[in-house]
Amino acid sequence: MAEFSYEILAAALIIFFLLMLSAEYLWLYLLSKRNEESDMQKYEIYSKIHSMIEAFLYSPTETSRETELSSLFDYIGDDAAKKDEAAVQFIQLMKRADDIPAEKLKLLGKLYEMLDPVEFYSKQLAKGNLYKKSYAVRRLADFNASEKIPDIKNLLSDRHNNVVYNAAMALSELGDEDAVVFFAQKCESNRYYSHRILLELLQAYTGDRIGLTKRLYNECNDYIKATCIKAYTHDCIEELSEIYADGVSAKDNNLKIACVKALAQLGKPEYEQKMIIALNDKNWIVRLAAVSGLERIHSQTSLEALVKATQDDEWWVRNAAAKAIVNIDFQLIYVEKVLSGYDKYAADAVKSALYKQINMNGGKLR
Amino acid sequence: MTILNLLRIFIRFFNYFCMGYTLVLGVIYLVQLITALIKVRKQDRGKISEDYMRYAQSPNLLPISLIVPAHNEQENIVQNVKDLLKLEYPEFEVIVVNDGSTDLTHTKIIEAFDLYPIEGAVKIKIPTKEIHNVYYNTDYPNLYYIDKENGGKSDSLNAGINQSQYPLFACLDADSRIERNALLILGEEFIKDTTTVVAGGFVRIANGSVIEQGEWKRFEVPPKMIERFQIVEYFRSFLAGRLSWGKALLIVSGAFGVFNKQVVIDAGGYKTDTIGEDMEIVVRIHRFMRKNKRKYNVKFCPEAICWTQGPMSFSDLKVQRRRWQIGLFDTLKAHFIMTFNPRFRTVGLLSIPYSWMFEFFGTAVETLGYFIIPFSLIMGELNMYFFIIYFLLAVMLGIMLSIGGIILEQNTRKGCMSSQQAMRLSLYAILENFGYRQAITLFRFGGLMRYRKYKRSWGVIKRKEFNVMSERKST
Repeated sequence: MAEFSYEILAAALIIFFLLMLSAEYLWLYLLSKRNEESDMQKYEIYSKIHSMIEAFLYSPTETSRETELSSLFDYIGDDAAKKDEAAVQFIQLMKRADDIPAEKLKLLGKLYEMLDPVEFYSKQLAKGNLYKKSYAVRRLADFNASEKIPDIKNLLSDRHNNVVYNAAMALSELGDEDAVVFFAQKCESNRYYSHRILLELLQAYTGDRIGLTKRLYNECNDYIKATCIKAYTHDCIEELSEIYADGVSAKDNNLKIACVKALAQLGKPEYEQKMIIALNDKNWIVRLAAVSGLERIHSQTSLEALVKATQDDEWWVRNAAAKAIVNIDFQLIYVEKVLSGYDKYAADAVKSALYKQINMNGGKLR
Repeated sequence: MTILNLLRIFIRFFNYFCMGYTLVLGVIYLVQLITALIKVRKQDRGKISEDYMRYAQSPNLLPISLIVPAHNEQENIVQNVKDLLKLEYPEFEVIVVNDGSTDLTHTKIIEAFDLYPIEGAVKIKIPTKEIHNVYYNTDYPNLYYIDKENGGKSDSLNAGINQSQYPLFACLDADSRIERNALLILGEEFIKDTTTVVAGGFVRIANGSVIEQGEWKRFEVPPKMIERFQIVEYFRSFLAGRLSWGKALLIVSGAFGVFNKQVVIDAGGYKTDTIGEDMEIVVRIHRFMRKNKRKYNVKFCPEAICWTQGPMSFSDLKVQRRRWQIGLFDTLKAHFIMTFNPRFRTVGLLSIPYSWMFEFFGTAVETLGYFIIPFSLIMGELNMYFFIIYFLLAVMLGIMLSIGGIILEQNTRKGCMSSQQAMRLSLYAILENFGYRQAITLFRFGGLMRYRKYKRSWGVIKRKEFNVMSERKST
């Protein structure tokens, strides 16, 4: 009896495994076939819509344009994938709007009206899954759908971080200051979003950056202040120089570093003294930022301060200062001074910077 | 009690043990496969809203130093560096480290890029063997070439870390090619989650594929059986094996991984007296981060692809697998304290015990099984009927796992293989159970048996130029 049940068990197991294997094989076959077809289908949709839009834009007469347009929308029908592809191609075209003649832009306007992408993505926003919602909000921002801001704002309190992030990005692209401040304040306590995500959000902001920075500087903690200043450092916004100068004496190291870097980027001579003071800061990243500021100012006083910085204890500061001197000391007076000085590490740093500036094949300074 | 009786008892016990072992391992593998499938499906659905290409020009991406250790890599090195210089990434530098090559690697690279020696200050964060010279050319401002005394791959990576100026570094093999967008995908991981300290890519077998000027063009099933088996094996081990471990992953392939430089320096850099440096550094990072109670994350991204040449003969495969097994043992031995240690959480309680039981001892159990099971059949200690059932089930489980690997591949990289190619490869998921898997186990076991002899030896594996591989296909 016992042996009999073992046999049954064995047979059942083998049959079960065989069934599983067959199912797996079938799955693999269907999946690979579907992948193959979907690739071809995607390409077909892309090329068909592309050629139809081109045909519409370049048709010689009003009647032929109408025909092309109606055949495009006949092709799109209610297919979401086709509609999305058409919308994406429309965005691509609008990105080079400056190169497109006025009459074609007018035609694109007509295409936009018929396509009505805002309505299409709004529907996805209302009933799509979390990924579709995330995608739809970004597309709405691409279409500058400011009328949808209230709907997008509702997503800021969604439980899925992905949706919240994309909604915040969309609102930033639409220039909604309140939403950006709200999201930034949310990030004060929620470190789920990295500071680079926050940087990305601030850089995408299309509204008044000066107003936003001032507001964040007044209403947020040091972490957000520093991130905001970092985000706009490369914009060299002179109107923010007072905020930067104020932040240089902050207690928080991150804020101090961000402000010194921002001031350094501005390279204004009136902040030379602040840079020289920062060069004596106990944090080496602050000193490093000050070096780049002095390099931009490149006055006599800056050069002398930089020579002193080549003797810094920190390798990075020494080397950055050496590189700065090599970059700005065209007469090589200070370069020679360091090379013939008593500090071997400073001389090494300058030598290294020199080698990276001189093309040894040409034997000349660049 | 006679010796024969003792032997019979041992054999009986071993047979039961083998059965239990196969059952547990099968369940673990199935759980891994299902977990990986769920993860891949989730990632796939998330793709619609996560476009890494938006970071292509973003200054927010952390700059990366690409470190390429090269020892006798004259066939591939120049083309590889040229390809790396073309990568899609806003800010990166390439640091080639010649680890005392005895072939033409040095001459070829100097001539190809017209490099000249520079005297420079290098911050020594990790001690290395003597550096002969650092070479540079202002025409290639993001390329550095270090010529150093032979000290092994780990020592070269340490020298590269010393030379690097960026916060992230990627270790790359000179005989591998990474796809142009692969760095972007891994770089994005460090933006999305600041606690990410290691991100590994998916290493795929390039044999057969058409790769032109370093760029993967299309997949072709390679001509040799051994190469086809490896493709199936890599799908299974990388996609099912690595995806399922999540942040408790113990290995990021030495061919392609991105690391937070400061964390690696804090952990002491690469260990130079091991040949399994890729696993050792990840385990050490786990240990260091847990010990110092720092938050961290280890990521595996199946979409960041690195193409590598798999061994083309059984003798080369033997060398490779021996090295992997020795590297595994070295690492597990060095971090023995982590085993079953709750302080190291999932890594200490699951990943490391799993590696000991199934990756390390498993090889010995399987090898013994190959001899003892037939012996017990002869001695009548094992019922033939039972053995056939057991064997059939084990083979079917193996096939299921391998096909699962191909399904995972079809989910991660759509359109890479045609349906015909996928079905053709699935045939090798069956065939590999009759010889290939057994050979791999024996190679690994052989590595352990000769641990003392080979523990510092990398061995030599024959390589071909990537262009030659593609030309063969093109013609």
